Amino acid sequence: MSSARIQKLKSLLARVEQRRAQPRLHAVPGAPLAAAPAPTIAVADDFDDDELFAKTDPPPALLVTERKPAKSPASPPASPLEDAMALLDGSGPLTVQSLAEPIAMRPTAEQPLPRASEPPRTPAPVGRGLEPAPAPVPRAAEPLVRPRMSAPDPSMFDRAESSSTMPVAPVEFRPAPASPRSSGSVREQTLRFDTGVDAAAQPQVDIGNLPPEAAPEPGEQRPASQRALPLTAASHVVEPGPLSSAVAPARAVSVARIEAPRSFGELLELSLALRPR
Amino acid sequence: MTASETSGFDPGDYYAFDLARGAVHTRHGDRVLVLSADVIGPLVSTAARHGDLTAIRSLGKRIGDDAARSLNQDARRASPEAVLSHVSGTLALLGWGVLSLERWGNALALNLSGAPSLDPDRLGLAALLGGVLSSLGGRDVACVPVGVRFVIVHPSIAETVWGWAKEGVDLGQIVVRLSQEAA
Repeated sequence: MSSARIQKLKSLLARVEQRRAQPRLHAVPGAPLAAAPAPTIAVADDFDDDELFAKTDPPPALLVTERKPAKSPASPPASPLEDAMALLDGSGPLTVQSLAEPIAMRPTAEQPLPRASEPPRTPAPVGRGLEPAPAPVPRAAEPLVRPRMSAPDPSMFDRAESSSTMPVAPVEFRPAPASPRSSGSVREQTLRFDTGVDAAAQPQVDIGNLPPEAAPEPGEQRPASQRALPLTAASHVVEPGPLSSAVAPARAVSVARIEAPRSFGELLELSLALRPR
Repeated sequence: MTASETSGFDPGDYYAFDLARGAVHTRHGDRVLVLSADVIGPLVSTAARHGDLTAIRSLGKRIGDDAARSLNQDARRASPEAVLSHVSGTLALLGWGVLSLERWGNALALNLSGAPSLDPDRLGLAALLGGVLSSLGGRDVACVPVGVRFVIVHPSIAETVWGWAKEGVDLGQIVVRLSQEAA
């Protein structure tokens, strides 16, 4: 970009800055429309601006407006384009749009385009019950011409609102019903989808490594020889006392001692009474 | 609870060394010999090979008698802790290791840690402990080596249990294979 062009843009920006305090619409005189139609852009695409744009003689090359405040939900949109823009971001009518590039708007799945009669959605306040925040004032160094993508995504506010107002229903957790078969092989047929092709037999899911006939039926009693499980550790360990002539310290009373207050002779008889099964 | 149950084993003055006569006596008057474990081991191994462990079993009975005298009451009516304290103390004074008692269900098992190695199958130690418990229980008791422990059983089933142990059946499974005899 040449220095002359940069200088021209700087002067243009300075003039825009000078007119920020003036009413919302400013005509920036420039080349006649017939002489240079391509760089001519329209700003604030509503009927009033268009009318003022047309009455300007010569037509301006650039029309800059201040950001219009968001319309109330009750007020109907001024145009279908405004309607669509308000539905997307709720920030008011279009602020900058090049005439050479038509607006392409497609409703997404999350944001279906409602009818024009429906009121436009506005972003919900994040903090409910608080004082509404004042409208953002553009900073001095901030250009008035802003890309539309800088506006906040209204879907974020929609999600916040939906999550805050979602009714909370109590969830009751209940234990799963007991299986009638405590062990063995469980065979279930997998889900089958009809694809129109005759396939082979569906595979089965085997849970457990026992054959089906090994699984006991409910209420079935195993033989006594199979019911007992081998011990892996001593159930009670008796420790000898200290080797001292002094009085032994008080021993800690353990659960095993409470459950087995037997004498040495009783324990010995129990062990001697064991016989092979 | 009697005083003997609350007091531990007193090792004091257990030995009386009579150097003039060259004799060592216990405090109960029994004459004992202080021998090297390397000497006792081959003797016990030879006795085990010949199937006659009467001598080592008699030694166990003497140790049991000493423990019963130290306990100063009928060992069958005493608590297991009190009996174990006096038996373990007596065995420790003679150099046979530290004894502990375990219950595996209804079965009793002994563990003699730090005992000298007498024979590979530890039948010598089993005979010693069998003699000790026979003295304390007032009836014949057999101890069968199972792993690192000795399970206390009736002498009539000692061979069966010893056969299971030689097959590699551990103590838990042996207890499962045993059931309480009908009264």
